[in-house]
Amino acid sequence: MAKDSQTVIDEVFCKVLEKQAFLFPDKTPAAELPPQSGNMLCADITFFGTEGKGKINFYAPEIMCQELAANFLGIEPDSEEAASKAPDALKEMLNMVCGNFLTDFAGETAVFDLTVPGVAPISKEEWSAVLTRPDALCYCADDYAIVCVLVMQE
Amino acid sequence: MAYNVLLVDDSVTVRAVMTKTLKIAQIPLGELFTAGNGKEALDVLKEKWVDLVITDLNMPEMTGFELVDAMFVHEQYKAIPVIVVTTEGSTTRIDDLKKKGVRGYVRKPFTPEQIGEMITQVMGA
Repeated sequence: MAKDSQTVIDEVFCKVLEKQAFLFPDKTPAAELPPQSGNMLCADITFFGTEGKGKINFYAPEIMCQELAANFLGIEPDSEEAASKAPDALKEMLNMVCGNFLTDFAGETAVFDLTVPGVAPISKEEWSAVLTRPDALCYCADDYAIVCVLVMQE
Repeated sequence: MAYNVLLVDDSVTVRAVMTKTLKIAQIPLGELFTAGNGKEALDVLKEKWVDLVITDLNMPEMTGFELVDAMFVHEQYKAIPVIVVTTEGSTTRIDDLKKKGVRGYVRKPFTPEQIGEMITQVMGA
């Protein structure tokens, strides 16, 4: 596995968000992220394979996930349907990023098993703690702060 | 001829996107059934007439791999065309599914055009 995992996840994250959700994330230092109000969500997925194992977490404001769902479905962001599908939209985006990351990183013949993604709300304290992680990839998209954390064990 | 389609994905968002995609695609669509995993899909197959199955792979309770295995050993279900729509990108796994009898594969993220073209190709419409 010659490619750097952090570089690959960064590329794949931006590609999937742009293609599927029409959001254009800019990589931003944690200290420069816009302050977030409202609920924050965390989605997680774990993968295991011959080429290694690891975990990916996405952290995002619920209101952004609502926009994500709206963009997926082509509906109004403030609709009830977009609100109800917000957590699921974050999970599905993580699922897509994980699948595409594994191929780009480990090659097309590598085989991995993925867990079903989960999602849960996080506290302000947990959000603040994530921003201090050295391995956190931080992005800004339409004034929303999004964080991606990849942890790998070969 | 209109096709009855069974859509299998644990994500309500993907099911909603696929439903919209199938409705706007230039394909004759009859009834549309949905299921959240392989087990629910088998329940639908038992009760309804299905012409095409479109399934995800990574699902709770019963995966798409297990659904495909169950369908292709079943006397009545093995003739139903299956298209896999998934984030899975391993050629090893996809080749294995094709050898088992899966007719089509579209990788997520997908465009409505990709889905429409794959259905046309698989169903010969």
